[in-house]
Amino acid sequence: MAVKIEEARELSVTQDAPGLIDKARTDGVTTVWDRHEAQKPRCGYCDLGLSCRICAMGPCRIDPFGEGPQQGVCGADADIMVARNLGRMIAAGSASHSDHGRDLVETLLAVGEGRAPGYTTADEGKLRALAAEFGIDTEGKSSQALAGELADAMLEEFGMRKGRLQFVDRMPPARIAVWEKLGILPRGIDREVTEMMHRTHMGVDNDYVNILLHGFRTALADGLGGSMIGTELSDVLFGVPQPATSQVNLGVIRPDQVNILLHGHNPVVSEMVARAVEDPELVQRARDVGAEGIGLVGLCCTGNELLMRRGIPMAGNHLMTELVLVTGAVDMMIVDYQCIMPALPQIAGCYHTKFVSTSPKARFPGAEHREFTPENAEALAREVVREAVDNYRNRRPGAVAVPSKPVAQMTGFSVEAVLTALGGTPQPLIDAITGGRIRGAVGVVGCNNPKVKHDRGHVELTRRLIEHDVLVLDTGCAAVANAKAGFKVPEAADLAGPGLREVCRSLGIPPVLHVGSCVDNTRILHLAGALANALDVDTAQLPLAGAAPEWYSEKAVAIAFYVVAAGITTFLGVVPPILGSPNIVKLATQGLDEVIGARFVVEPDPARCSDAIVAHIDGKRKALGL
Amino acid sequence: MRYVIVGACAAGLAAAEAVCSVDPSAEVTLLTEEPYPPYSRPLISYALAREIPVTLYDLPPPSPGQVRVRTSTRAAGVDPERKEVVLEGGHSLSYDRLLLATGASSRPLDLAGEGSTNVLGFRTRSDAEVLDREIRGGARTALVLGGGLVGVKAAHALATRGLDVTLCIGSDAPLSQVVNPEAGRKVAEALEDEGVSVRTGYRPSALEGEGGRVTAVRFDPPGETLRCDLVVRGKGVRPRTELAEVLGFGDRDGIPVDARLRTPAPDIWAAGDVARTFDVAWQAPRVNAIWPAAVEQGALAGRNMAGSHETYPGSLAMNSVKVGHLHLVSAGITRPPDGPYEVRDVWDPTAGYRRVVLRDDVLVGAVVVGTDGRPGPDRTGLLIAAIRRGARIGDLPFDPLADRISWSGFAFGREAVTGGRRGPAATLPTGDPVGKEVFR
Amino acid sequence: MKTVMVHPQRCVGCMQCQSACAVAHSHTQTLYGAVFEEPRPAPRIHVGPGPGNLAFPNKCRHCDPAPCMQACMPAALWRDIPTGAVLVDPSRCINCGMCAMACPFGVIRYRADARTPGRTVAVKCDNCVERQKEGRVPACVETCLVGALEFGDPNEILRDESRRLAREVSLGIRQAPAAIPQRPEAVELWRAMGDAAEALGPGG
Ligand SMILES: Cc1cc2nc3c(=O)[nH]c(=O)nc-3n(C[C@H](O)[C@H](O)[C@H](O)COP(=O)(O)OP(=O)(O)OC[C@H]3O[C@@H](n4cnc5c(N)ncnc54)[C@H](O)[C@@H]3O)c2cc1C
Ligand code: SF4
Ligand code: SF4
Repeated sequence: MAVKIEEARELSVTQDAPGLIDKARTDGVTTVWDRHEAQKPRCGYCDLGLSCRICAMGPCRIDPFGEGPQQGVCGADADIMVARNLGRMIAAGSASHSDHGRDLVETLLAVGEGRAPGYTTADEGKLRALAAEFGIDTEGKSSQALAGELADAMLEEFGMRKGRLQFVDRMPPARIAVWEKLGILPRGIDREVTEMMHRTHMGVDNDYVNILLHGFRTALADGLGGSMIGTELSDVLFGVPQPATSQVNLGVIRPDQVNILLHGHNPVVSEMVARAVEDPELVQRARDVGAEGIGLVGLCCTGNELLMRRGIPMAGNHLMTELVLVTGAVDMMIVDYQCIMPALPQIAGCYHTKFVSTSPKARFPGAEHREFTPENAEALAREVVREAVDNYRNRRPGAVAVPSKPVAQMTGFSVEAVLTALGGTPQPLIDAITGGRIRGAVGVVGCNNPKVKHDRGHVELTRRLIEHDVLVLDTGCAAVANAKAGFKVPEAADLAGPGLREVCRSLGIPPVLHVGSCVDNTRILHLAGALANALDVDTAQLPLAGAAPEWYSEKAVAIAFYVVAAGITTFLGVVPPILGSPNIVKLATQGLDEVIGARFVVEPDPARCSDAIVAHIDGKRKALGL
Repeated sequence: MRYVIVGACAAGLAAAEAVCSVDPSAEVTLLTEEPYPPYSRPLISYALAREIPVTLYDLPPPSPGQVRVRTSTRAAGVDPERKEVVLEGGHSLSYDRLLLATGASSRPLDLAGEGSTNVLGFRTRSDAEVLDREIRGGARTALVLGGGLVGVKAAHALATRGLDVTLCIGSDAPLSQVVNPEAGRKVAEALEDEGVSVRTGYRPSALEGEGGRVTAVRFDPPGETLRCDLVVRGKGVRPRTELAEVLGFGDRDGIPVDARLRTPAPDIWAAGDVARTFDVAWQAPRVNAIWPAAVEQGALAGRNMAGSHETYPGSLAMNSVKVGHLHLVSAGITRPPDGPYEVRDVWDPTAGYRRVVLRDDVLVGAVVVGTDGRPGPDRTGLLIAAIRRGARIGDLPFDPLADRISWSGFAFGREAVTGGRRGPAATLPTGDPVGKEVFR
Repeated sequence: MKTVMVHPQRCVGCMQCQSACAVAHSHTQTLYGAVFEEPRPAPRIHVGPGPGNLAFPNKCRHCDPAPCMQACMPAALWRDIPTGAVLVDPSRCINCGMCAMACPFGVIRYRADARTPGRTVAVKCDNCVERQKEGRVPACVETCLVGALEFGDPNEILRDESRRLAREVSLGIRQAPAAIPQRPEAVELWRAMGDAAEALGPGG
């Protein structure tokens, strides 16, 4: 039942996906696109946010055409229902990032307590700087001691003692004043999530504006809490990313070597695996089984973490995770958590691939479960890599096909790296912006979603933005898409408008900068805060925007909300499930501007979205008198 | 075969179409004394109120090849021996089959001066046109005598045109022939809101005026004289049995017919407002002067005239009245006489006013009054179908007094899926009861 | 004629047909657009509780003869001969309410209609005659994932069912043949729980 390659090309703009979609169908493997098709038509009630399963008096639905019920059993109307559902999406997203962040804090704690063999504080300077930021006296303390103290201080961010999160202070005073006025200063990471779950229980908060305001607070507890901690501690433990070159797309998988795929989000496991594959003994073992060596490649955000810090090649983003297995050349897929489709172990089962889950929080039917802890990670990583090597023999030669050549990319643009590239201060960037060579900057971020032609949203939008001299910072799946499109090499400056081209050429950087994984969106937030502070303005005044052209996950909703809370208007390419409440739509797309200085824009068409972003940036520039 | 149909409105037109559908060689002559081609009588109130364009009046003409419509042609008599209809002016028309679909006319007041030019019925297109001319000619006050359905509609239409309208009713609420007084009073309130002043206990006793025009009406009780520019009779209708009476049957209660809708005279049928058919709610012969019954009967009589042998399951009174924000639906027996009847009423703000009437637990009547479209007439068909079926209240799959009538209450049986369409015999293989008589 | 047949035993009450119908009768033809249209397009099919505690998608049966047509005084209701569908001409409808009283299935509603701005008119299933012209099945049928709605000639559908039944019985293939594919156990259980709850009191 192979489909024509042209049909597969309808599903993805990439070079590598169509051939494998085709192969998947020949191999009888069901992919996300098949399942997406089988789910059609989607439930209109859920699509509009008008279904509620919060309590057992229900489930309830509200008829968007006004004929059937207009209230749930409890009396919730469309506004309440949509707001509660949205609130819970934000809570789930914030919880996910924050729980990931907590795992890093716990690893840091284990380092501090000396029970994490193999883990160190790779970036001493950042450790000290963070400790100072958290008010810890660093004088004469060993890094191990500081690791323990910082971990304690950060654990406190999850509960609530101080009244507000430490990283709030990274933002300009004008912004903090807005949050104070609205009563949405984040107080504690777990607290805001818990409170959102509480408020959206039946019979608690029934004012949609009030629920949404708390949504912003919950999201800020992510952006200035869980996510930011995740980013900062990953840097401390594994090193601050520095610009480097690497490769991307399915071509990074070499059929002649043992291939291990890392998928998920947290660098805690993947860093140890990355070290294990360098073990000479294991490399020799790979030669012994007839392979050229051991190839480690990343997927999704774990891939981004490895790419940023170690230049490990990136195989693909969310919608590629199944297709990677379809190459038949993957000997092991190691996963931790988040965005790992439960379909993956089944697909792995269609080939010889071993599927290994590592987190006690995330188990998968059909997977082999090997629980990683800070204590056992180093040894266990070696063990699983050995198994991967041994699995090489089980390859089915006829089933192997890697249809494309890798593309080069540049990566590693942490805030620190950007500042270094600029000569230590943001001033050159500010000058480029005020001088008009750079019109503004946009974070193109977020996932893939089979509702959108794979990577089209990211690539088309980014291409148009750089043509208009807009500097693009990207993370997550968007970053993979843009790298595959060839935007991440210095030569891509040719694709940019004249001003941006000149800046890129003089600095030797691409017009699209890779700043990391999804939690690393906080790097953009951090940078925005630094720019605003340097200019002594509110972040809402800067010529910035956020865009999530292909988002799918609850985490993306949390990100979008903290970005808007930071005063940065955000453009969504996929319609969120809120259209059932015209009041909330109006608030989100118009009313918010007055309240918070930014709003949401939904624009699935990348061309129109780019025009809207450019217009938005020009408006901000004009207001600043630029 | 030659078919003559006297009357070219609901019943007559349906009959002509039905005749042609059964007998392809039929030659049909439709007679109407009115000067207009077939039009929809109930639209006169809408036209008078200028709510619709006059073009809406026209009804689709029956198949032109087989049917001839003769307007301004009055039948003066019938000669059953020679099988001829005698036309006014002396000509006659022979028939093989004759249908009397002569309908009804506004009931007269039986007062001196009734023939004055500004005293009108409200039954024909010309009534509406004369009223319109009077209004354009300066008429400002109108008295509508009688609170029947037509009276209510006329009063409402005249008030919509800006006239000073008084609806004078002998009984204590409008629509006393159609609904119970409680529902009638809701209609009175709605009429007042629409600018009609409603007086109950006003019986006209004399028309006052000169020069062929009435200028005031005397009411006893209560013993008061009201001035007016126009008088409209709204006391209901009387079947037009003139032709039948000459033949020796038919009276003020209509022309009697059997289950095939035949009159006592050979080859003569009757249908519509003039025919006294079996009433399923009363379980007795009765005239139900409503449009759907006229169409149903006309169609059935037409098919039988052309050779079918169908029996009429009976008619059911039903009415739908809208006045401003009020909407009233009634069906069957709403004001039961003494006997084994039970009346259940509810009045609640969302369900509106509802009444169901039971006879030995069988549903025989219902009234639903709603405002602002809640409850609207939307699902009353389920209730009315239950009355038609003679359903027991305990067997109903929904509570007839609740607003939320199960949408699919009668959705079982073959008719439920085929919509009554007759096709090759088939049974539902699911073991569901095959309700043969879901409807009709 | 072809029409939409309902198999209530399969309906799970998701009301998808309802919104698909409203969208099919909207200007924008998309859900996201339709909910913002003024007037909002109205569904012509309604899912409600039916006999035996089953959800029942209720819609016009396109009766012949059609009681609603017989009741319609300005001849706003008419039959489209090629498809057999009973249709409303909104420009002729006077919103009198007669057809709803006459319809024994309770499927006619009165709604503001985009085709007659500012007026409320009778709204009912049109068997998607416009879609049929394009060779498409009615929107409700297309959207129903569980096969509770089937488009075809009702007599043929019923005849096929009974033939299949007869064949199965005579061949003795099955002891108690089911005319409609068996429902999965989970659905049976769900139905049984619903019946049990119904027996206990209001709601269910
Ligand atoms: C203002 C108004 C509003 C109404 N509203 C409703 C409503 O909302 N719902 C409802 O169900 N019903 C309503 N009706 C009643 C409905 O109009 C009648 O039930 C229906 O018209 C009966 O049709 P018919 O063919 O039996 O008789 P008619 O419509 O009375 O037609 C009789 C025909 O016979 C002709 N005729 C009579 N005698 C002769 C003769 N001797 N020679 C030649 N021709 C003759 C007449 O010219 C006429 O064409 C309303 C009526 C009026 C007047
Ligand atoms: S609206 Fe009702 S009466 Fe008319 S055809 Fe449809 S089901 Fe039959
Ligand atoms: S409401 Fe409209 S369609 Fe229905 S009977 Fe009246 S005019 Fe006809």
